[in-house]
Parts: sequence; C-alpha cells; structure tokens
Amino acid sequence: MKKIDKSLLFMLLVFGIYGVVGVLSSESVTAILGRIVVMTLFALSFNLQYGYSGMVSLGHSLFFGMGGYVLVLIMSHYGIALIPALLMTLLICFVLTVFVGIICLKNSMEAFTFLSYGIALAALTAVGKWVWAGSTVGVTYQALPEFLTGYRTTYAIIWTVCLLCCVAIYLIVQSPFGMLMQGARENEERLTFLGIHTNRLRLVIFTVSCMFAAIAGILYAFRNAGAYTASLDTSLSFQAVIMCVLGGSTYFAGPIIGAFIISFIYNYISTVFPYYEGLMGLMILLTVYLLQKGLVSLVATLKERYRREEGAE
Amino acid sequence: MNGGIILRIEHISKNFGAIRAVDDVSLDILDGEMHAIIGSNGAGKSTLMDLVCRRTIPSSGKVVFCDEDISVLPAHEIANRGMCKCFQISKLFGELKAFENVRIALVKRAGRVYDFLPKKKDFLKKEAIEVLRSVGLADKADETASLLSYGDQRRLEIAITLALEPRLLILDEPTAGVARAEGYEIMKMIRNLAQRKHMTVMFIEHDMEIVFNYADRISVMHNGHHLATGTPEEVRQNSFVQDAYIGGNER
Repeated sequence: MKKIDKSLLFMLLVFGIYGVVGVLSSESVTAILGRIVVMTLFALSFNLQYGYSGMVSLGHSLFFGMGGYVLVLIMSHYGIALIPALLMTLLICFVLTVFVGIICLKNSMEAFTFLSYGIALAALTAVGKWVWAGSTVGVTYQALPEFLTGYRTTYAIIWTVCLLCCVAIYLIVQSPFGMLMQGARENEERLTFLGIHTNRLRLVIFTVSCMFAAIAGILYAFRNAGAYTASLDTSLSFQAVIMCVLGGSTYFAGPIIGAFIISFIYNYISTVFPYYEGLMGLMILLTVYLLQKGLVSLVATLKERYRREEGAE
Repeated sequence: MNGGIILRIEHISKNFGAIRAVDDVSLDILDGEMHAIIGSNGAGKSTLMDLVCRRTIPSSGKVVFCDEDISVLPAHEIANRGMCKCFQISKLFGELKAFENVRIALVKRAGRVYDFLPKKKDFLKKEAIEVLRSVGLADKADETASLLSYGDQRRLEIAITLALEPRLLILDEPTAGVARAEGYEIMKMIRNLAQRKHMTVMFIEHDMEIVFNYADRISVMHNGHHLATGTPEEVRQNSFVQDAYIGGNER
C-alpha cells in the first residue's frame, strides 16, 4: 500500500476533527470553528509566499478582505445572484491581485514587504471612508440565498471549500512549481542564471497565494453574513505571519497549528481572559526563543531525544 | 560551427563611477575550446564575465553569442540561449538537498516551471543523480547543500549548470579555495565533461599551473585592458605578459 504523507494525514485528521465537532456543537461553538477553519486556509495560503518562497508580505489581509467585500458589494448593490456573483468576484480579485503584485514586486524583496503593507493599509483607509463600500460599518448581505442562512449549512460549505483548497495547496507544494518556489526562497540569482524569469515566477506565486486568501475571505463573509472592516484590517496580515512562525513556517502542518492557536486565543480566550494579547505575546516569545522552527519542530526534537536515549541504553 | 566563434566580445567597457573596470575589451571565444582568462587582482576578469552574461550591464560594447547579439537581452534570456555561469562564491539552494538543487535545473530544462501537478518525492531524482555522478557527487545526493564541504559545493554548483546542458560554461575561479590536488581533479572533470558534451568553457583562474595545463587558449587582462590572447606557449613567450603578470613566479 502506498504510504500517505504525514503532513497530509495530519491535515485530514485536523479537518476531520473540525467536521465532527462542528456537527455536534451549538451555534456559538460552530461560529468559532468556522473562523478557525477559514483561518487555516488563510494561514496555509500565506505560507505559500512566506515559508515556501521567502516572500514576507504584510498585505495578506488585503486579499482576504477583498474577497468578502467584492462579493457582498456586487451582490447587494447590483442584485446579482450568488453563483454568477462568485465567478465575478474571483475574476475581479484575480485582476486586482495581479495588478497589486506587479506594483509590489517592482523592486527588491524588502520593498515588497513595505509596498504590500502600504497598499493594504491604504485600501483599509479608503474603504473606511467610502460610503458606497459601507465605510466603517461594513456591508451586510441583502440577498443571501435561503440555504446560506442556517448556521450548519454555512459551516458545512465553509468546511468543504476550505478542505478542498487546503488539499490543493498541499498538491501545489508537491509539484515542480513548488520546487521552484523553494528555489526562489533559497537563491533568486541562481534561478535567474538558470534562465528563469524570477519576477514572473514571484508574481505567479503571489497570485496563487492571494487567490486562496480571497477564497478564504469569501467564506468568511458567508460566516459573518456580510463584509466588515475587521476582515481588511492589517492586523490580520500580522496574524498570518504569527500563525506561520508559531506553528513553523518550514513545515506544511505549521500554519494549521498556528491558525488553531491564534484563532482560539482571539475568539475564545479573549472572552474569558482580558489579557489574551499578552498571552499571545508570551507564546510567540517562547516559541521563537526556544524553538526557532516553530511548534512542529518540537516533534522532531522530542523524537531525536527519544531515539538518542534509546540508543544509549 | 566547429572551429568557429561561439562568443564574440566587441569593444566592451564598464565604468563604475570614475573607475573604468573593463576598458574596450574585444575577445573571441572559439567553439569547443577551454579558454582561460588570467590577470592580477582588479584586472577586470570577473567584471568581464559579469558583462558577458549580463549580471552587470555594460557601459558600451556588444556581445555576440552564436551569431546573435545578446547585449540587449535580460540575464535569464541569455541563460536560455545556452550560456551558463558558475559563480565565484557558490550560489546554491542551501537548505535543499544536493539532488534537489540539480532537480530545479532539470525542471527548468524540461520546461515544467509552471507545472502545478503534484509529483512523487523521487520525481527526476534518477536523472539528478546521473548529473551528480558526472561531477563525482552521486553518493552525496541526499545531503543538504549548505553542509557540503567547500570543494563539493563547487562541484554541486557545476552540476546545477551542467543539468541545463549549456553550450558555453562560464566558470569564475572554479578551483578557488580548494586544495590544489582537488583543484586539479575539478579541472580534469570539467575538461572531460566539455569534451564529452561538446561544451565550450571560459574560466578565470589564478593558479598558473592549472591554467597552462588545461587551457587551449589564454587571454591576459591587466587594469581593465585586454593585453593578449594566444596558446599557452604564445602567452608564455609574450614579454609584456611576463613583465606585467607572470613575472618570476612562472618557471
């Protein structure tokens, strides 16, 4: 029998747990789970840039928010039905992503970090002042189809689409393109002198990664029954980085763990413990200080220690 | 094109501010030869190499590769024409295994850069190991590139470029930093590969013994100028070369 890769198995297991718990729990727990599942996709999409390709974007929130906003705006302003609206949203997000990508990738990777942050911040401010886009209040779904009103069906849809997208991300990482992504992280100049147009390669990586974030954003808008400025907030960009660093950006499973911990702290611990941000800070500090490669590396470290002890006996 | 000119450098110059690093150099590289560039530190050898493969943009002059003017092409397009460069400081994909380094080049050659479909873990591994074997690294295929010894890193760097099957291989001091015996071994390997794959090699080298042993023709540079080009015998006889560079060190 063919052996299934450990990280894929881990991801399927985690999604299995989210699915079972989602079926068994109340509305409030499902709401938290919905966010965790969406954040898992968000973090994994970000890690395509961050961990695999070495592109430190601080503007990932822009694409997350964009997905939800574009969908809700075209549905509520123009009364377009859900399915054509979804297709239009993906198309619009694609065009905007490529456009933003071309601007951000014009110069060095350092410039990329700040350009992506600048554009995300500008978009957040612009939407906040733009009455048509709901300004600081946000936009609520006007014409939500019947089947999207129940919290269980909504969660089922979110869960299914996220799972499919996460599997797709896993497959991309195993492809020749995934190998080139790592090449771009390790040594861009070497790639150039192998005859690869590195700027184009980076633009494709950026677009793929951001489109998955846009899908996560669309699902998040389903969950919230609308698009709100919180989904565009640049603090989400930092959360993406933190999720990857905490879990371990060099491992496929890292962001999955990071997304769970961060979302859990933000959505549950924050309601019972007012100093939750301090708790998060402490966790980041300990993880980065003690285990440079994130929580997943703890498994490898323990295994190594166990093996050594066994060998010593 | 055997015996013809594969690379023609025409009146190329490069200024860095007020400094003229390469001054009106014209040079022909013949198809299939091992061509050494020698000169003291600061003679402009490395800059000349960078100008040829457009790592640096020339201030003036022209480079013709296989009858095509490549001075207007971006660096990656030049590599696609069949001119590959090995760097003075090894530029590897450090965190990846040796075979994965070569595999990236193989993926490129197969034209599968934008192939998004998943592959097995040993995808192209056999082919990568074949390339590693030709530089004597087959048994280190699964080692992390950045942990290899310095000499092995140089070999791996050569393997990555070989995977593309270039027509012209540019080597910036392939034996720098390795023991002389291993330097000889690396040069011998390069010469064998060049003969077998009909590859032209242009290399910078400081070790005169290696140069006179392995080069078919030698070009001498001094202060950004091209002094002379000729067979090892001719270069040895050239009085200006003897004064300017070789001096009393050459027996």
